[in-house]
Amino acid sequence: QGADIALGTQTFDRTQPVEVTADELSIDQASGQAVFDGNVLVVQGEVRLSAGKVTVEYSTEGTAPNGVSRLIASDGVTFVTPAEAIEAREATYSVADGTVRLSGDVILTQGQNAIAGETLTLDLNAGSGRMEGRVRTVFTPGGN
Amino acid sequence: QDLASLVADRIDVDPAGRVTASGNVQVFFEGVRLSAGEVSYDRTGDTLTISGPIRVTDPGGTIFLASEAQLDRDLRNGVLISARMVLDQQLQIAANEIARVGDRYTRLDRVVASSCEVCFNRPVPLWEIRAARVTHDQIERQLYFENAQFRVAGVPIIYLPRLRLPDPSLDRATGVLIPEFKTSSELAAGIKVPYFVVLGPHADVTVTPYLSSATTTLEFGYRQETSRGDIRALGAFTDDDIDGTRSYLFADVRHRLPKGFLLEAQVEFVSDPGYLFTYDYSDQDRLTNEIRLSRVREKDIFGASLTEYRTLRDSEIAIRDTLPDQYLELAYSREVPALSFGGRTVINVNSASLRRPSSVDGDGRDVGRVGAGIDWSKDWIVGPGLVTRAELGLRADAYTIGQDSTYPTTATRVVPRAAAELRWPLSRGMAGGVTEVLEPIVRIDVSETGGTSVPLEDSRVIEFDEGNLFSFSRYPGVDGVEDGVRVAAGATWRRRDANGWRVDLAIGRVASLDGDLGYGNALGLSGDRSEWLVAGHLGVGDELTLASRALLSDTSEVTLTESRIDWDTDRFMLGSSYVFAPPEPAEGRDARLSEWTFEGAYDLTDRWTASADWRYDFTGDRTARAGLGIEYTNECARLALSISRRYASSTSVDPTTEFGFRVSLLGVGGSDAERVARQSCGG
Amino acid sequence: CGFTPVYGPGGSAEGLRGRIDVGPPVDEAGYVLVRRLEDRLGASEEGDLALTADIRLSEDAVGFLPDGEISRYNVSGRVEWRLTRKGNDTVVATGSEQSFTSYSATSTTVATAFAARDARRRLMVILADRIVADLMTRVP
Repeated sequence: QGADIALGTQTFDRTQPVEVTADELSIDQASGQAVFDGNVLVVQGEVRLSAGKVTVEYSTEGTAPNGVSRLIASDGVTFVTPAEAIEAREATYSVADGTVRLSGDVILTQGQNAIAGETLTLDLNAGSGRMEGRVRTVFTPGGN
Repeated sequence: QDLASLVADRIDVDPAGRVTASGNVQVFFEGVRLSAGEVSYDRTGDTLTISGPIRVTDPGGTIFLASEAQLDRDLRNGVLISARMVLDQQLQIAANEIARVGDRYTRLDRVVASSCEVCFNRPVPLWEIRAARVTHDQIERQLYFENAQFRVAGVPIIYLPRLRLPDPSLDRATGVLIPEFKTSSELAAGIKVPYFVVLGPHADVTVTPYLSSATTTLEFGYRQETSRGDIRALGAFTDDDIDGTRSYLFADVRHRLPKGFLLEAQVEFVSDPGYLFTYDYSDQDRLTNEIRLSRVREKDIFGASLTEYRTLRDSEIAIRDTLPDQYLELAYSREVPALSFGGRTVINVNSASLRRPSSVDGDGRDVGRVGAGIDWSKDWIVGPGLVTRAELGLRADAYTIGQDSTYPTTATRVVPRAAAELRWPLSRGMAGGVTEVLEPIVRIDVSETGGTSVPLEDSRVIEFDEGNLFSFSRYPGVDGVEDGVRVAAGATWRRRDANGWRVDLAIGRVASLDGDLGYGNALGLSGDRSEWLVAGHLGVGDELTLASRALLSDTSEVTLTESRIDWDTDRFMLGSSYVFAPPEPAEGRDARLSEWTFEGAYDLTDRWTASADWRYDFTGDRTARAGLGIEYTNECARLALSISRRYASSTSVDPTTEFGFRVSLLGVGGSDAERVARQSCGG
Repeated sequence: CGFTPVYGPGGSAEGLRGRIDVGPPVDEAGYVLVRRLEDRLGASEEGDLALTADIRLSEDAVGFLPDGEISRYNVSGRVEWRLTRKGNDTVVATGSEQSFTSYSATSTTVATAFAARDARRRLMVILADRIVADLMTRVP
């Protein structure tokens, strides 16, 4: 019943495969970039990211297990995990260091609580998050 | 469960689920508003750890300021460290630690309380109360101090193990009010300590012991609001060296009865004539005990009263029995639309009976009268705006006169009268929004007194001014009637400009065409024509009013003049009057009256106010009364110093000089005085 | 000299008589004020204008004899008046008048009581006449 804003990220497993669906895909081998355009949906385990356009950058050195180093989503992004949902204008998910950076009227809702601000940076490994820029939140204090 | 909202520059959530909001943090929850540098809050525990400059405002308006705090999630309970609590924007209590316990109590430890402004350049407040602990009860609105020390300008004055003070938002609470130190030449140095007792929501009494080396007195002031009226009583009991046991009581009761009637009763009792003057309870030199039933409506007025008079005047105590002491009066006046014939008809019925204690023939005269009158009047416009007014009246009275052989035991009197009045109001507008109204007036009255003459009991004091220049009689009561043909002529002039200046002038005279006006040598109305009445008035907005009136003889020698000025601005107040009247044996005044009174107060600065009052009698070339006062008011205290000398001397009173000093703390208990705005520390 | 009759043709108060309904009195002094205003303004209940007045009276001693007895009193009075249009209560004009009368207090008890009552009555007549003089030029 508490106002628990902690992120339910422990269940997030970075080794899960990333599955991307979109209306249109264009790939540029030279720059190692793939651009998905139109109702893009990226799913990894229980985490789902939908956006108007997603640019996937593959790491050319091949260090990442499946070669994806960064996902840049734009034109309205929704990032959903089992415990909360986050909306923003753009988001950058760098798989390597497990951080997601969302910006532009970010709204994080979790159960009855919601935090709004300009930018939100999530560290998926440490399970911590920082919301900055005119941050407003609503939470239900416990009565005693 | 209500939602709390939080606004901040940044919110961090760490792995353990601990939320930390930082940068201009504002939290709003059920009317409580908290602003702080940083608020952090962990998921498991219930408390908010708050740091940085903290300011909590609870729904009641109490403000808490602190450097750190530990509050539970609904901001109700918890501890504030090195905090200040501000009550009703007036009383500030600084404490090492403030503990908020539930919705009612706040416990403050190691406290300094004061409503004075504390600044860097003036760290020591004018007054402060230091205490080991203070408990604030938000429901009873009381502050309970333990081991309190009262300091003035940093110097400890009193040490009180227990002290209870009402918090500023409380208006009515039983308790000691601010004492007053008073020395007077008659009663030596003494102290008055008023104690206010609340007797339920509609009544209270202030009991004030007044102790000095010359007197032990208990004064009281009782007030009560009833559903249909109110009760007020003032009184005192005294045992002093001047006259032993003395007492006085002034009480009046008002009670609204059904159908618009009002019942009023007034009691005035004094044990001895000099008591009121010596203790400065009242200037009154005559007492009136009265019970009165009255009703005033649109078309009629009714009054019935039984009055008992008692004199305190030295000159009259010896002849007390020859003064009327009981007076019963009944009067009813009503408009009768049926008989108006296009005008207005008023009938009135009244009766009175007057009793003198003495039974000596002549001196002990008792008079009873019953009578009725009918008055018709009609106004209409004629020709170019000429306002004509016709009046017809008939009055009949029957008198019974006892214990005075110079009058028949019964007398009747019938007085028919007629009058015509002509007014020609003219006006002109001038540049700059100035308007003038000039109104010439002429009036002729005719009346015939049939029947025997009657004693003038209620018509002995004759005054002549613009209020009765154009009326059918100058007599104040029923006993006196004018007779014969009288003509009054005069004019009024009013000038008014756009920015609130108003000037009025009135001049007029009344003369009898067939012999004497009938007023003997009454002031200004002796012989067959009155003296010239000249009256002026100057009004400037709502602040200044200067009014003056004079009676000039034909040789333009001033026989009576009276002036009065009332000037109130937010910076000063001035009230002064001058009266010059010749001797008037018929009215009991055998010496010339020439007296000037002055009363003024001036704000030297927004904190210092000087006041003075003075009364000078030119005839006796003596000061009748003089007083000076100086008052210092700041945001937390008022100090009032006053000295006054009253010069009356007679068998029952001697001249007295009084010196009074009064200190009141502001910001404690609902002090009604308006306080000087808080001065910014820079000032 | 520019003066025109107030109630005459084109006068500043032409047709004003009979239009003002004076508010009900609440006490004896108010009764005298209302009677006088109605006499001078030709008041009637059907008037389209309503006049209300709020009276404040005070009395203070101005003459003291050497032995402290009071020989003369001043009765000061102040009236705040408002003229409003009936129906929508818009304020047509407001004003205030202040003056004083006085009476001698050296005669017998009953005579002084009647002198005090007459002083209040005369004061109401003076203040009413002043209000009428104002209304003559201030009602559009």
